[in-house]
Amino acid sequence: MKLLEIDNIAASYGELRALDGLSFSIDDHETLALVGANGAGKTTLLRVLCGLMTPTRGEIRIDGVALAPGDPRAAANAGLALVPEGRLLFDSLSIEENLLIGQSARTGIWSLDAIYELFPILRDKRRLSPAALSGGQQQMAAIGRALAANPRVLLCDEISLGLSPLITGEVYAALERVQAEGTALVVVDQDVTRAARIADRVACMFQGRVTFEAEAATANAATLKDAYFGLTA
Amino acid sequence: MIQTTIELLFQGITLGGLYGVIGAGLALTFGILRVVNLSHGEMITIGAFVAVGLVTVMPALPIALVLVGAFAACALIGGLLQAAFVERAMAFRDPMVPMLVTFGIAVILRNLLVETAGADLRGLDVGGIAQRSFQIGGMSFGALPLVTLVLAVAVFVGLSLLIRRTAFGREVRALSDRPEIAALMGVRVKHVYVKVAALAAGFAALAGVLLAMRASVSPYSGVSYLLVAFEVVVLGGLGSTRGAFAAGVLLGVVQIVSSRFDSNAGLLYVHLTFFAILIVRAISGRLS
Repeated sequence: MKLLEIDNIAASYGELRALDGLSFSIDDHETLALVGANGAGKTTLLRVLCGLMTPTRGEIRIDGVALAPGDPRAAANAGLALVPEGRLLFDSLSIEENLLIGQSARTGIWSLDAIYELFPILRDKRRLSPAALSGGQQQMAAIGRALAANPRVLLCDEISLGLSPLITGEVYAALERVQAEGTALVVVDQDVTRAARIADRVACMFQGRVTFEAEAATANAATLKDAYFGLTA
Repeated sequence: MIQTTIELLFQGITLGGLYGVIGAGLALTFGILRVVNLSHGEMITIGAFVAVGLVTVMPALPIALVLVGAFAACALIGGLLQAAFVERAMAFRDPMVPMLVTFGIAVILRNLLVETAGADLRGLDVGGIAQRSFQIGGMSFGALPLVTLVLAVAVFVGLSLLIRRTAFGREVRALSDRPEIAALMGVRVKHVYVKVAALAAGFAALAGVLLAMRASVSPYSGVSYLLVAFEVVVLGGLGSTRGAFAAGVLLGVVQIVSSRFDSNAGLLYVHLTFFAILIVRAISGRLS
């Protein structure tokens, strides 16, 4: 049985159809790099998965059990956690409080100490407001907050957006350690090469559909590029 | 002269503490729920009438228990109203919808109060404490205003500790910042909203009891309290409970000092001060 199944999902913003009968699945411990041009529907898909948006049709299943659509708390309890684009940390809370609020959903291996071990800088900055941190440190806090929910699938939206190559490398190194702990990942990133490097599979979206899907190790770069620009849709 | 000034300031600060409590609940609902709660004044009045009712039925009831009873009754009403009506109205993106719902609730509560308790003015008899005073350095300070100030400070310190130091407070702040992301983290959004609404109504009740100790209250008093509450909240910074306390003290001092020179002024100078500060803010905002 698949860990996460997305079956024929459609979603719209008014008249604009953002997801159009999209289906794919993720195995336990698997990492999927989800790529595509701006407006392909990647963020919308993550929002639907997390219950922030209600699909107009289709079903999401975790371990074969259908998830209540449009219910963020149900998604969190089922083991889906999002690292949102732009981090979106809670400004009124200290870094440690941001991590603690993540623990509202589930318990597991990702305790506060485990998160501080993954990102030691957060321990030093734990009493500070998110505004006092650099963009890279904020991204680490956002990943830590999502990990605090002990997700089965960690959804990372535009994980390297606005980060220097050095910091992006640190963030991806941390994601590899998260993989090693057995958490499945869905990584959305404009840096396709970087995302594909840690992924087991690559899926490319175009106009709300998955138009290309392959093993990351064997994915043909030219075909992926065509799918990215909609030449194979 | 100095003695008179200190006495006036003391009276102003104690009245201001009360105004702060009046505004605290409104600041809470606006800051966390993003709802302009037009039924806040009626909740203050209900708190006062619950206290009067409790003392009428049980004259020997200590004032602390009267406060607890009024707080609990209004918290229950506020929580239920939030769960049954305001919550649904908040589902609409237009903030006018919950505001209009609270306006409707205010009208219904006011008329229910008239039906059940009558339209007469009521005051809370707190015994000898109302007349008691103590002397320091030749100055006279009333015991009741001091009790009011102590309660007001206790309310604000308690509220601050609740918001800053507890897991519930953490959820409240997270919801205030980013409700959508807080829901993603597994925060039970509707439960927290109901608790915040209950807390705000409870604070309104405390303000109502303190008001009924000082002066008579009628079922129609809610509107004037609501006006003061809005002034306190707007001056203190929308959603800031600490700011509400500071603004309350400022307006309280203005009222007491102005009544010294114009005994018939009532709340006139409070409203004028509010208006003047708004104009100054608007001008300085334009200039900056």
